[in-house]
Amino acid sequence: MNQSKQSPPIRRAGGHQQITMLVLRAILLSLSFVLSALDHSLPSFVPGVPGMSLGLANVVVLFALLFLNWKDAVFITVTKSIFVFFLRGPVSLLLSVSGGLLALFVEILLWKLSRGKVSLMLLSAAGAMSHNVGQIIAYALYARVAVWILIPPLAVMGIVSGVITAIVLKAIYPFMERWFRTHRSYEGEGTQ
Amino acid sequence: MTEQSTNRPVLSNKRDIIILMALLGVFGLWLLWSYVVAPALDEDTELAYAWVYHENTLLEKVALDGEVRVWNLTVPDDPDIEMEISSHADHSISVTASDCPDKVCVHTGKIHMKGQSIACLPNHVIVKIGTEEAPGGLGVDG
Ligand SMILES: [Zn+2]
Repeated sequence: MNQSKQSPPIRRAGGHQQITMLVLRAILLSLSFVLSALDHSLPSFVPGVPGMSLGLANVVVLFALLFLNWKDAVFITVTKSIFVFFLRGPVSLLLSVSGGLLALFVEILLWKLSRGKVSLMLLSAAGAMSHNVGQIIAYALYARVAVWILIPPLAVMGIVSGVITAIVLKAIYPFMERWFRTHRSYEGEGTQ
Repeated sequence: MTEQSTNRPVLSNKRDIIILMALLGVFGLWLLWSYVVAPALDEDTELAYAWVYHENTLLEKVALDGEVRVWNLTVPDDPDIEMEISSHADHSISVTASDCPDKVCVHTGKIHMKGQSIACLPNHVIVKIGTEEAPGGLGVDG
């Protein structure tokens, strides 16, 4: 009804695109904070290792990797680890950053090596396994203890949670593609 | 833009499912071995012992026989250290209080399996679970 006077058409506004991308990044970052906070408010899921998290925020990082680029994914990983530091202290920061970066490294490697042909399930399962194993190795180095006994349950859990993450991502994929189609400039400013 | 849509990743494919199943198989068997088979094999022959160290000095060796006890750790080299250790009915042991700043040792909770350990780095105290003869773990600590 209220026919807008001069509502800026999306198609022309490069600035508008930048703002929507900024908003998307902000949403992803805060979502990763919320998920990390939730994750770290649960008791450590590995008895005998403090500060272990399930990696709920990995879904956000993987999302950033798929829809934005690896730099955004690294940024979210590191920033949420710093957030975890304020929440839980240095040990959790160490575990969070080691698990997060190892997971991301494995995901980027798989993605690049397969030229984007790797399936979401393998991608996120490999990421989740690396996240868990990265945390436990960091703890082992920090506390100077052997942790072999924890590797099998962590790996199995990683596979299961990775598959769940993949299903979630696949479910939101069409919506996000549509979102990008409407919010990105039509002038083909490039994909980066 | 169009690249984005043509590049839409698939949820799964045959090859990746085979890889995942293989990984699941390997870690599943390892899990079964270390949590079911191996403990069953040495269940009644070997009682677990908790070895408590300060730096490399053995302070205590506690049988995890299910008796409930709470005691304060005495560290001759550093009498200022205040740590309370508890053994529990489920054959586990935990650090229940500590004067360290980070409380990582307390948050570690109860441990009961050979190879597990609790570390209090500020106090240089480590609790390792092993057998009566050896402190267990694969000796990352050296
Ligand atoms: Zn401590």
